[in-house]
Amino acid sequence: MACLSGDEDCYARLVRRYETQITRLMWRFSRDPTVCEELVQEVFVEAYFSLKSYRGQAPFLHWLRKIGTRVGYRFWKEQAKTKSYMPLTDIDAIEGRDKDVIESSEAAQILHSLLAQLPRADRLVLTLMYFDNCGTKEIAERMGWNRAMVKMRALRARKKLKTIAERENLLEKLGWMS
Amino acid sequence: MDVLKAIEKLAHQAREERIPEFDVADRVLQQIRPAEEETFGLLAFELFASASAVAASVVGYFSVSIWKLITSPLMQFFAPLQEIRLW
Repeated sequence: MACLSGDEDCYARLVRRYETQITRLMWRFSRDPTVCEELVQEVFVEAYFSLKSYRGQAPFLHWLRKIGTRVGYRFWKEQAKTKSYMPLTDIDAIEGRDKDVIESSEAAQILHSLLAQLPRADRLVLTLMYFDNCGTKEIAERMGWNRAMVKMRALRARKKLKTIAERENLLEKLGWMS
Repeated sequence: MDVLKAIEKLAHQAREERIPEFDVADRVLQQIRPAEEETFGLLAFELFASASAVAASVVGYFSVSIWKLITSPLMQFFAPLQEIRLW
């Protein structure tokens, strides 16, 4: 309530309270720390100017995640315009190494690179499913999409991802998985 | 093993990744303040514009009624000239 009346200190406390969770979400959209930090900042600025639309029916974090997901999706859209792409060198880099000790950050990097090859909407659905453990209902709510459409998209996106992974010989490269 | 199952495992492991930490609160506030000032500036401008529009409407209302009283504005303008002896 104090934040709604423009109390900046109150909002700063809110930012500090939720920035870890929002950073976790935005890290799925960009693994560049500088870009990720800017995205986190953008989420909180956008949230501040949309505070009046927060009705308090759902937890504040849910509402922030909704804004974060849309900011991230917009970032991918802008990124596509500049035609910047994610190289797939990450998978090759782990080849020939002790595959039993692949780190979680490496696993995340590989998955991120694989998902980056999908169309934007497919990428979003699978990113939220794989990294955030989101269900189709939550994804639909966050993006304002139809749930049936999200289900269909997830199904198709998985097929596309399978093709990409097979083309990249993922199973061979990640022999430690089998 | 199915590729998709391998990806699921990869995702499971990826979820445990350590995420960098940022402190963005100060920069968020820095970004909010000028935008808010801009909003107030815009509000003042809008108020001034509204007051000007109201004043213009009042002046316009009286002008129209006075304009209607004049039979022919052009003749009124030349009327004094008719009384002047030209030669």
